[in-house]
Amino acid sequence: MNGRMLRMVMLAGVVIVLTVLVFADNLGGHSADDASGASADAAQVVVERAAQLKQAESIASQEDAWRGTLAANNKGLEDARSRMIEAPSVDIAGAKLREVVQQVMGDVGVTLDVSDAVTPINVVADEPLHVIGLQLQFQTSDMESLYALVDRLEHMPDLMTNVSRLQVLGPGRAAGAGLDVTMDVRALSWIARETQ
Amino acid sequence: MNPLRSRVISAIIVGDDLHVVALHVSRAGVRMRASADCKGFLRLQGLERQSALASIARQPGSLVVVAPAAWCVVGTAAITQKQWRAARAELLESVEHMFPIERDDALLGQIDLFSRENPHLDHPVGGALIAAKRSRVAPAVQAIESALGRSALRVISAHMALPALGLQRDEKALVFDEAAYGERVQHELAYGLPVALDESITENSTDAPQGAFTCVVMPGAAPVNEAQPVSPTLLAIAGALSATVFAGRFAPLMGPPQRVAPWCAGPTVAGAAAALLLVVAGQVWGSRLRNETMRIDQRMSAIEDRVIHTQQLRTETERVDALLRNGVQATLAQWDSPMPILREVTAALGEEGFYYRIEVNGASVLLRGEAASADAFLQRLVGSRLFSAAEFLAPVSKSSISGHDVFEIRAQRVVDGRRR
Repeated sequence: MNGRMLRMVMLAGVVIVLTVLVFADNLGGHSADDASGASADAAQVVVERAAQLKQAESIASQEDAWRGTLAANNKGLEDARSRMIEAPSVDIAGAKLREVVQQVMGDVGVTLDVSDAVTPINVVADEPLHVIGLQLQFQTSDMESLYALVDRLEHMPDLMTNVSRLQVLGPGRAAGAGLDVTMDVRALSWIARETQ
Repeated sequence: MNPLRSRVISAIIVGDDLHVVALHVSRAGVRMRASADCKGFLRLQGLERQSALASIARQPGSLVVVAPAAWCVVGTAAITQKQWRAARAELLESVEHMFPIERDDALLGQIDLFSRENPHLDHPVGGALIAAKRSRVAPAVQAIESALGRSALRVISAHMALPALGLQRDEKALVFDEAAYGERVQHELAYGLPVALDESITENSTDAPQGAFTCVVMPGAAPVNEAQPVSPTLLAIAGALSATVFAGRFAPLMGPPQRVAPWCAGPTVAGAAAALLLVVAGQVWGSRLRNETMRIDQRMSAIEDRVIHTQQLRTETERVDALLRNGVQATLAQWDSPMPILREVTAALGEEGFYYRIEVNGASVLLRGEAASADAFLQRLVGSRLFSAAEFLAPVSKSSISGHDVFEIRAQRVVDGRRR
């Protein structure tokens, strides 16, 4: 066997081996369609994973931006909380509000006769933000005193308050008889319950 | 030797002289790298020969030796290349019956011949056996081999170099040559393909025959008027190229013939390459997918903590934002002070009237009292920008004490242009 024949035999051998390998690869346990399908699935997985990576990288790149936005929002919330009644419970918050209201009424020269707590409202579910309220009953001598009291109650620099309902009886024909007033005062409150 | 890309050293003997060329043969063409002419080569001693061919000996390449036609005898038997391959052994056995050469001393080759009218390389119409005496050829070849430091790949006769002389454009060409015993002969080519070899020239004239054909004279042959001499270098080049130009159409005197690749070689190689590509491509593709998946996973792992932290930041930011917008700001936006209402209804009533009762809530105002004119008072309320509507809740009556109208009115509040 000379060199040419040897090369031909080797070439033929390689062809046969490769052909067997190809057929075995295609027929061994799965069809060609399955193989191509598996390859396509693998490629699809890579494409999906690449898309996920791209999305993850996009999210990660926003870390500083979100940190800055959160800091600004926290600053805004801190400013708001500084004008709320902070207390571990709505009852304590109501007591604080009553104390503040009595202080204001005293400044205006009005005496509080009766006060009842109004049912508090949880403004945002599962958040400490509440609206608490008091129903006040008192007497004033005239409308100007009432105006002054309402204005003071609604413009306290360190609280966000509002007079939500007002009922005035009088003065009637006899102006000196005074006014019987029933008033609902509400305020934003931060009920930060203490954890055990 | 790859006929399409090879280095060949071709040596031709003319008389006692030797002409050698070193060629580089490729698809781009033929490039002569070196050449040497050695006068009286066959009379020189070994060292002298080596010295004379030193420049060629340094060149790489396979050695082809072209024996002059004068050393060869062309037989009369019409044997084609196909027949030669089938009956080579028998032909060698019977060489004594065809040539005046002893069997043990015979070198035998073959060359295909073609039709004068329709010559085509794939369609030989016959062939010729060419014989030479080993005792004459072998010493010369051995001398050349010794001088060049390599064995001869093949030894061909000058006849076998004829198709590579470059006469393919000539419909008919006559090649004048010298045969054994000094006989003047001519070879006939049609479009470069041999159609007759060693045809005797009977005329004593040294003129070329008249006609529209090309005439050339081989080196060492007697000159012929109006015939172009073939230089030894050109014949050496033709000897080197014969294996390419005339592949599969001759069998050399010594050495293996240059065979044409079988028809199935191309498809076989292509099939093997395709199969190999199929297997390798699949593996490479799969490997690339795995590597890419691994790279993506590594990158995902590297940024996983940042992603989680960023998502937590975003969630917390959105929570605080919602608390501020939907909690604080939205609540404050709904809060309206009763002060403008109190001042408006007090002013609308005037100095002469008075209230028994004022009730203000988020949606409406209830007013009960006395006014000089309840209708005028109601019109003032209706015209106020703070109320969208106002109406009596009960018929207006006259007070027996003050003489004023006694009224009971409900007015709807307007806040930011909207009715409550």
